[in-house]
Amino acid sequence: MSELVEVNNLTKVYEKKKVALSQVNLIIPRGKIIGLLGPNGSGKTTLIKLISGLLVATEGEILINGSKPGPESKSVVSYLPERTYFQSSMKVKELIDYFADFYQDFRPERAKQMLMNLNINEDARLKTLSKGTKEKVQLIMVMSRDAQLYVLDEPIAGVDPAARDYILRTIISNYNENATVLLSTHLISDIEKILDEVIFIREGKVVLQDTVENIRESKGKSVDTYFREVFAC
Amino acid sequence: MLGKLLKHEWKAHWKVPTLLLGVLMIIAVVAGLTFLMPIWDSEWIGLPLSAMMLVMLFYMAMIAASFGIVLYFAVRYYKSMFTDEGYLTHTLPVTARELLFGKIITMTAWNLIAGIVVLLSIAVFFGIVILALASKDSSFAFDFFDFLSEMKEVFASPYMEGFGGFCASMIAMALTGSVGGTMIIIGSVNLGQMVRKHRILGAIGAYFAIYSVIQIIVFAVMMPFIFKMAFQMEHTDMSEMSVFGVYTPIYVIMSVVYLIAAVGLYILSEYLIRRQLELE
Repeated sequence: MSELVEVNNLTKVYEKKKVALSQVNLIIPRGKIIGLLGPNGSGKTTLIKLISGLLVATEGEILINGSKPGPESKSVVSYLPERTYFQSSMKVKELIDYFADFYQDFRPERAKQMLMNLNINEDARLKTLSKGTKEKVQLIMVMSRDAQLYVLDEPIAGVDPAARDYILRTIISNYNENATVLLSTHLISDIEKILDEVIFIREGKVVLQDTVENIRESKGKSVDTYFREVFAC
Repeated sequence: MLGKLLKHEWKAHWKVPTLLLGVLMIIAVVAGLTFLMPIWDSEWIGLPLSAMMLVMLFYMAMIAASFGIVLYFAVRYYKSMFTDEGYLTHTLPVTARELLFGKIITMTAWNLIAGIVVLLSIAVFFGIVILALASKDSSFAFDFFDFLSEMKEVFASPYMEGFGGFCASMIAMALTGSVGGTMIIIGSVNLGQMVRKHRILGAIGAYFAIYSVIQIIVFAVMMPFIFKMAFQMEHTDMSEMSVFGVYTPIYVIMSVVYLIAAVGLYILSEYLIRRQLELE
């Protein structure tokens, strides 16, 4: 099976009939870094949450490795939300134990090495760390798994350029070659150089899925420039 | 995975309830120790008044510790399931059933521990008081032992008939009440999250609604028994009638109602987590 994720006629309607996703069809292959691109409110986070099993679809289905979102899919999906989500009273080393207990693909040595590289004390409680450091700890935990699918929601939003470089380096150097990274952002110029494919999403519909190379060749412009044209206000 | 969930639930949550129950025990000991000191006989009103306030504090501490633990676990359940922490909880490779069981078992265990420690604190308090009074007045010790031997006779009287069954029904009610209490909290929080914009208010509203419904059901189921007992009391010599015959069926009924409510709320909770989960 070459496709990792299959999305069929996926629709998500929130309260008050707000349609976040409408009849979305997608195939996400293995071994790629894919950008999920779209303006704010386009449905990127909703799609990511549905893949991660944090929302229930109104209609349609998602298959990850052939199974619907559940314990099986969660054991192969490594998800980074766009917010700090660990219990603040936990110590960093407790977090390592927690991940090691629940995720068979978690590599504690890799996490410890990355923490050491950033001089983050394993005995520190999360509440004593700055927001930026907490975000780095989260990224380290997520990227220390040998997952099949990394789902990263806005990993570079709201961080300084140096941190942005660190995050991108961490993603590239830690993801398994056979795995896929799906990352959502609207800061395309910063990540364009690492992407294999892009998915453009607007008002809950997928408007384009193509390789970065194809876009550059056929449109004669960068993905960032093309994105600005497609989503011009 | 349930074992791992229980391990981490326990690690994350043992400190606060232990602290609350530890403080309760300390207050029980200190309040009891006032009877060993010449405080109560002091001519200055301030001392006996302070001691009385300490005993009152012990009474309030029992309520605060029990209520505090329930509230602590309700807040923790809400936070770990439906706030930012839920992003970790719901991406663990576990089933909704394992997730719920991990929380139900931990909360119920702490409900039971809290109940046992509260009873223990009462025993410690009265134990110290009895020792203190016996050390001050030797006749008190003899009176106390006389009282105990009289209790033996009371237990042999027809008035105490059915005491064993009564104890069993009390234990059953304590167990089902702990599970039922836990499930009312979990069910309320889960139902509350259906009110997407006001999840906490929704949970509080759901709690009072569920609690009221259970009380109405308990009352409705008990009515025939109450009438029957009233009829029996009218036609029986009260001195020969055991009080436990009255309370045992009531406790059994309450246990059954709590158990049914707990199962119903569990089924509802699992459905809501499986099919209606919507993290902000």
